Amino acid sequence: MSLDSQLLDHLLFLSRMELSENERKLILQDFERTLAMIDVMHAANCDSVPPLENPVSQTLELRADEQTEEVDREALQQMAPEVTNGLYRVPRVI
Amino acid sequence: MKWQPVIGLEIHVQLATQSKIFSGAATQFGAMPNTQACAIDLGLPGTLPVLNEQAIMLALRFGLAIDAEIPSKILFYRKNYFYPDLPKGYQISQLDSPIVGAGRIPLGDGSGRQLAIERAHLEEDAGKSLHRDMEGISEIDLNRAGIPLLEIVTRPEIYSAEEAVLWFRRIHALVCYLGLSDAVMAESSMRCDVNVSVRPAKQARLGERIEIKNLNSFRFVEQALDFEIDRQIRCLEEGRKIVRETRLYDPNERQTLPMRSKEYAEDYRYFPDPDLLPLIVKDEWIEDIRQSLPPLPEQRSQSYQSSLGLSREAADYLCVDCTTADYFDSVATLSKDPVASANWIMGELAFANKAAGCTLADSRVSADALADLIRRINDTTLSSKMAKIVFAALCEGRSSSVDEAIDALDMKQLSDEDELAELVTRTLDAHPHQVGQYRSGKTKLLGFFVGQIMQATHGQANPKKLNTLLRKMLDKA
Repeated sequence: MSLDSQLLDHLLFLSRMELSENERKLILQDFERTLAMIDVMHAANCDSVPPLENPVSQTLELRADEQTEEVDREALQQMAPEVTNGLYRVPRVI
Repeated sequence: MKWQPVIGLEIHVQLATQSKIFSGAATQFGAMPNTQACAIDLGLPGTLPVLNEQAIMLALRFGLAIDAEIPSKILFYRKNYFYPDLPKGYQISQLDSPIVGAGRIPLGDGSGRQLAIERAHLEEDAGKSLHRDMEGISEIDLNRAGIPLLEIVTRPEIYSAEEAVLWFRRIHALVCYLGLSDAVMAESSMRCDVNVSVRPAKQARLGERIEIKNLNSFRFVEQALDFEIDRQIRCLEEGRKIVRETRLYDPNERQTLPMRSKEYAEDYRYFPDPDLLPLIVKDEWIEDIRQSLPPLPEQRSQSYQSSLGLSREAADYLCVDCTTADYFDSVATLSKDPVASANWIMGELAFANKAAGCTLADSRVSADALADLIRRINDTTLSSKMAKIVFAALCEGRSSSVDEAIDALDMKQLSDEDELAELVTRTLDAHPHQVGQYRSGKTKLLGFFVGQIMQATHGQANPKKLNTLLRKMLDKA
């Protein structure tokens, strides 16, 4: 699989990122190398190996439906860049 | 050319849990912004999700009610996308092995029609973005982040906007009936995305589909689909192509508009969430839930019609949710009069609850009290008119029981035959002229005598017995 400029644009959109021309060149090279490694992995014959969902052979433990968390909004919001009236402010997204 | 719309629904139901699906934060609607979003909901480093048992049980309840396949093992996945109301950068959801597999929902109108459900999966809700009049700014409330959602996905086997609403209503009723959610659409506890395409009527292949997101009323579903079906047909007839996209419905302009550029399934890069082990579904959970499932609305409605003699409308009304059906069962059993029980619940009680802004669950009139009231009508202690006055006293909390209200209001119906006979004799003696007229054929005067006695007893004479007695004594001579 190879990565062209159009696919890179799409990945940048999904990541909400912008890159300079130079950065694009560098990352394309990185991706090419990564994909080449993945091609090697794909070449391995795994037909008889069942997919591994999780390396731990345990089941998930469940929690009782109880409210156990008290929220200290002020403390949590100290790390936010901008807050007004308890709401996080972000660049407009609609 | 004749066109056929093809519609599938994706219905999101917020499950009625006390705490979130992966954290112990509260889930109450209407709390101050961000006061119910804890470190886990905010996706802060070092936190881990722990699954809420009740969310699993409610989802299984739905699955068993629609006779769906339930897998022995369920998996959670990360669905990756960036949006400010999704703090972790991914939503914990399900892809393969969802908690509810394929099932069917009957329409319940006696027609035998069923809708195929493709799957229903559990996921966490995202926060809420507010776009108020602030230049370049959106505001985020993350209280909703992490509320358990059951996403019910139907097969694309719906062929008109009207039918889509019919099925949405049916699923809404089932969700309420099973107690999975309060399903208040104005609060977004239940909302619907629709997928719609059109194709030439005789073509088997589906057309390109459009998704319309976040419809939170039955009316909007119908309006949005009507507009969109029409738009797609116009587009195709003008020789243009439908481009796959996500749109939003604007109820003010009554039109759908393209939404922000949005990811498609392959862009979400789903992968099993390494923070959550697979969950093995225990046989005893399935058995316990199966045992606790109430008879489903259509079965219950049919039994009310065939065994209790209720009309279809009354039976369906009572089966709209489990609370109403259980309440009816209690009143009907205690009063031994199912028809009167249904009439009181659908009439006076529904009206009083609406006026008081309460529901059946918090009504002042208990099932015991309503049954007592019906018994008192049937044993002739109360006339229908008196019963309404006693009922009002119960609704207003002036009396705590029917008998207490009867005493307090001095409402006992006069049914003693000797007492009534004495009253009739006195009244006839006092009006010899009218008696003569009656006996010479002017039988309409019966109402005059009834009126005289009702006036004398302040309306408390038993009208049925009074009428019989009056006729008997007037016809005697």
